[in-house]
Amino acid sequence: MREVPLRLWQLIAAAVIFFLVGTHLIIMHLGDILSFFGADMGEPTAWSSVMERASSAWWTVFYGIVLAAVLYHGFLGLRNVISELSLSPAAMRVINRALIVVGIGIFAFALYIPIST
Amino acid sequence: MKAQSSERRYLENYLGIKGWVWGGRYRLERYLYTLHRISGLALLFYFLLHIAMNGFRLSSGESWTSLMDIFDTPIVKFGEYLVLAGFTFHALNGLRLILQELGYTLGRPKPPVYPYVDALERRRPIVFVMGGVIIILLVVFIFNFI
Ligand code: HEM
Repeated sequence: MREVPLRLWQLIAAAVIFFLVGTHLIIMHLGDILSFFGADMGEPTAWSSVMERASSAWWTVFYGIVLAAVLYHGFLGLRNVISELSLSPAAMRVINRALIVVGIGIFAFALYIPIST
Repeated sequence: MKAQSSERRYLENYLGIKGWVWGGRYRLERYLYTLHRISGLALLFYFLLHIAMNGFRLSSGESWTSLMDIFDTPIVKFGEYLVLAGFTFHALNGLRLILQELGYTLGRPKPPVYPYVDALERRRPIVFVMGGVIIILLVVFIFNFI
């Protein structure tokens, strides 16, 4: 595989994750700090809040981008770690393909969750 | 030319995983890299778990709500804090690595005049500022979990 573009995209995905997952974490996990600054987000894990986000096209697109960026960045990172174990080129080819298939499978399953609920 | 035969064209990684911890005179930045790797793998593991957990939404609203009730314990809260801490470290250290890789934090090349200051030492203040920001954020985040 051509390593330089793969690596460059990993860094671009990291920048996307920085902003989008940052937003997700602030909304979902830092509610008390947000309300201290006067922005009350309610209870983000309550079923009604979950359904509200799932029915919004904006949130679905948001989560689609987050999923693609994190899966690409994380799986390429995992491949990077595995590639340092000095496996044979044939074994690396199997791992490359397995990571692509599993990554696409997880992406499809995870995106199906907000679309179908 | 046995060394170039088809089955030995890849490089041997002699240190293996032990090299993450010790491989000679490692400096601070090398250990940050090891921590970056460990936090990255841990975040990936958590991410997959997070997706599996969200899969509970597919069965019913009740199963989601009861899962959230089960998770409402101090141990899970502490685990969430650790994930947030891992993300904060990985994100800020990653930003440092990206800026460095794109050449923004390298500074101008200097002639090697005595007393020598190596490139790592010249960039060390960036590491300390990053460490300071991480510590401040982690202290602020504690207030959300107590
Ligand atoms: C704020 C967001 C993030 C930034 C800025 C970031 C940045 C980076 C950078 C620059 C690298 C490459 C390090 C190098 O080879 O020099 C990296 C590696 C990695 N990242 Fe991230 N990352 C972020 C989020 C994540 C997340 C959410 C995950 C988990 C799903 C993750 C998993 C990994 C893994 C497994 C590696 C490979 C580690 C290695 O090769 O040693 N990262 N990250």
